[in-house]
Amino acid sequence: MKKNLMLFLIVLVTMGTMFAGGGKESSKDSGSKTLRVSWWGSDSRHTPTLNAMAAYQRENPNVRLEGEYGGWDGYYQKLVTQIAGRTAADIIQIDQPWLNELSARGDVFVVLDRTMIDLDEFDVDFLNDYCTYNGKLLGLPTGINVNTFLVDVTLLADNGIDPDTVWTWENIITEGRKIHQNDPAAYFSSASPDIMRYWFEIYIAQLAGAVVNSNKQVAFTEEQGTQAFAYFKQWFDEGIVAPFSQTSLFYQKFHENPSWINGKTATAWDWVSSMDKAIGNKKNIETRQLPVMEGAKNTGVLMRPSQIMVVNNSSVHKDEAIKVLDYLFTNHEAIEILGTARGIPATVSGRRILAEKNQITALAEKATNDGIAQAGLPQSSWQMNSEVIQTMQDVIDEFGFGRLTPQQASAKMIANLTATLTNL
Amino acid sequence: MVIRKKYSFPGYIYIMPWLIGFLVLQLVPLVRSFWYSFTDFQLLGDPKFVGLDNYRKIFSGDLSFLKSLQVTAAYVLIAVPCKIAFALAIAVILNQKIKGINLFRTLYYIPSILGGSVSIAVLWKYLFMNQGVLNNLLTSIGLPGADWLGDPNLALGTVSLVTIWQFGSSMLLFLAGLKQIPESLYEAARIDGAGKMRIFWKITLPQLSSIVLFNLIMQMINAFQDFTPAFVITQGGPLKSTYLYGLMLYDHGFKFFRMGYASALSWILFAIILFFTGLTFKSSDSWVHYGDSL
Amino acid sequence: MIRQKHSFAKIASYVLLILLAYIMVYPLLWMIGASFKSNEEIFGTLSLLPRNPVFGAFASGWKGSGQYGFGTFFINTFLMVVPTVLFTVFSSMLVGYGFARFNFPLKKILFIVMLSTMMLPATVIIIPRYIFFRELGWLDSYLPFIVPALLGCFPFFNFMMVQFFRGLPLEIDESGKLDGCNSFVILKDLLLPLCKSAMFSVIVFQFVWTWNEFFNALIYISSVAKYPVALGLRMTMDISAEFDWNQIMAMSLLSILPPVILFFSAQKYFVEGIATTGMKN
Repeated sequence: MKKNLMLFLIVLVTMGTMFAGGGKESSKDSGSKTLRVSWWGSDSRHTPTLNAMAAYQRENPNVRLEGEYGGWDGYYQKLVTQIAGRTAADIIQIDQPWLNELSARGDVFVVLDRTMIDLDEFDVDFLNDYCTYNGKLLGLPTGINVNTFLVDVTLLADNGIDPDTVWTWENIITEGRKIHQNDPAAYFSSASPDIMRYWFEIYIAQLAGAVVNSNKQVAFTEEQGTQAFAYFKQWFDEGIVAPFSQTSLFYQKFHENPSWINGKTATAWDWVSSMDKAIGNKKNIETRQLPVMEGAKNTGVLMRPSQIMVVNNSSVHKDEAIKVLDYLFTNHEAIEILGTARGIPATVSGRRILAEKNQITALAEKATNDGIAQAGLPQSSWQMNSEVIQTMQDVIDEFGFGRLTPQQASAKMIANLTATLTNL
Repeated sequence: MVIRKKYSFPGYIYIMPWLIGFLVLQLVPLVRSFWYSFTDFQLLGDPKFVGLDNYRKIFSGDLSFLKSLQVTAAYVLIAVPCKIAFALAIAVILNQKIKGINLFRTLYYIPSILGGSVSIAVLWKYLFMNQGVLNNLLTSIGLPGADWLGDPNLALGTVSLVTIWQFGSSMLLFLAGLKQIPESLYEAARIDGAGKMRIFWKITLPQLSSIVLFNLIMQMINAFQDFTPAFVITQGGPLKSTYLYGLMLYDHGFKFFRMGYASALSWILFAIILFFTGLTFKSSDSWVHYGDSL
Repeated sequence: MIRQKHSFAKIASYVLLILLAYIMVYPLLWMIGASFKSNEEIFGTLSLLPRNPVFGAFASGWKGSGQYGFGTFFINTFLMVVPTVLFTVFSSMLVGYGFARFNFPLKKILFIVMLSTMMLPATVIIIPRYIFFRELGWLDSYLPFIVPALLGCFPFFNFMMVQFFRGLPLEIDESGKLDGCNSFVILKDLLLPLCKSAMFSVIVFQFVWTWNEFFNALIYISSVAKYPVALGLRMTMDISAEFDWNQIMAMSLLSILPPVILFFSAQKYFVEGIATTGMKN
């Protein structure tokens, strides 16, 4: 018994050491190329992507595509580490804000152009606004993602609110407060601190155009800031949203709040790409347009690529990688296989093919179309900078916890943003 | 301690694995990170030498540095003593001749096995959120609930509970240490008519002191750098009340691309930990008793 | 009278132990319940038992996502963990013995240096170490775990063994020396048998920690075929897309089984120490 155990252990150790040493055995025989493709997602993305890659390999037997896929946790940090160590995959899925953050620090992605990929399929403005850095196209959008406003029609109706209401900043308060009045445990809108930041950005965009403009300057005045914070103070005072002490632990996860799950919260700001997660099993959720004030400079409603696919500049098979990219975005078979694994396609034919095959749900289609119709100007890369976002969030937190009056919050926001921006 | 000169050569042979490991594997990354602390290193380009700039910036009023240092100090002060005291108490209880001791030991070690499991974040919210298990329990017996994770005054304590709850490793070491105490010492004390408490203070604790020292040093070193519980449960909030030093380092290093700055912050933490470890070691001369110096 | 008081204390400590045990295993009970719940029930309700049980989380979770399932991940984890644990036991024993029982030039400084390697936060070491391991060609293998174990680069265990060796009376060594044993024989035949509890602790700790290792595994292992369980557990946890928590709970439960079984079954080696071997001071 003891001997067997020892033998087993010895086998494991040797196997472990051998297996461990096998890290470098990539196929180096002439003609065949191995390309690594990395992405994050859930099963609904992994499987179709692997299938599409398999289809490509059938058509190109000399190419081997290896998927490096996993969850969201740590993906960005691993990517940054890999780029620093020049070991990143050949084809990489990135989040849109990373394009600027990473490109600002080096030529990490291959510049794409018309000779390589059929760009007519894409909306030119969409490419220019979101996939370029310094005027160079660095990646392709995997899909269109827009802001939407989820509403629980049952809960609204139960509280005597017309579910078909067109929402304005005013009626959110006048109508929305009924819910909390009727049931002290219920609220009109979900509002973890991160979502309050989005609301603030939208409101300021409508008042002043942007929070931070492309000249690296705070774009709103102290009065405008005060006006915005004074407005959102009513949200807390009137019970439109729950206090931060109850929602702050659902930072970036408002859909895990039992108040939302159990139908005690009537509405939620969300991205179309993640709304399925928020809706879950609920049957009574519809989407509406977000409120826009009269004479708004910019609706502030965000539209951006679900993700962006880029080619690693230190790849040894750049040409093949671009071919793979082109295939994934324009080949009909690939489009069908991928479906909506990365949102509603950003290509004309992609949308057409999926619509024909009924692969896009009516809810997603409506939300996307509503969003596109409402979409405002793209945010400046400065406003999307992670340090700027953190600066905004910190002030929003203090305000939300009642530590700052609207005037103080506005002044502090401007001062802190200015300091952060000069430091960048 | 008895010193025998002729053994000095074997000493090096025995520590050779670590010496090689240190020189070959650990030294290079350490030196590189020390170098980074004097540079502007944005991860993807080359580090640019900036002299003492990073350190100057940190000490001339980086608010998040001060805040997180404060939070970390509180965390270390809450989590380390509680965890060690708890582990010691349980170990002493479990060291009695008790039926099912193996089962109890295993059950108490389970939280440590769960470690940073993905389920912990979900579980802790479920227990401590506004309409969570704990508040439910409290209201059912007529006590007021609280926002255990949402109230800036309470969140750090609630987060520290995860750390304390994972006391299994310390407990195990105490148990192992208890097994090493010669029974003869206890017999002698009982013959002298010493009571249970007296035996604990006069024999158990001194005999266990080398393990207490070990646990104290290791838990301290870990707690100063810890960020997992806050990272998975509160992400530093509410109002930065759980913004541990380790979280701030992560933000600077990987979110804001200021690896040079993060390196400088790390070396400051290094100095702090080294100072307190040194202090603990210094003090240990007066309270730790080793078998080899009896 | 005295007897009664004694049994009362015993009952009290049992009650306390059981109560505490309940708190300790509560998360486990909750996880078992959660692996039969839908996402809505996990997040929306407080009851431990599922109201509308969902079955199949274990089977579908086991399949994993994409090309590889948890069968592969478990084998991988063993390949990574077992050598790491064995080498750690081996190296920490030697290094601990060296520091505990010998005097040599620079000993104090070397000891401080050894401990201080634990004091620099990992965040800033990640990139230099990653680049260094790339230069050695170790990426996408388990060598970043195994070799440091072999070379005693886990000061926690070295220090731990130092403390346990120092807890043993020097007379043991002296008697061995009188019998003409060299220092290695003293370690092997006289000291180690008295350190079984400590060695057990080394094995359990290193097993559990390497088994749960998420972050370093994430950074060093890129091929899904080589993922350990910790990576497999998180590989479907997207930030925006839906995934089934019950599968994650189910697989989390399975993943803690090996450490728990190891712990429970190896405990018989735990009790043997100086007290039970009859060694007198």
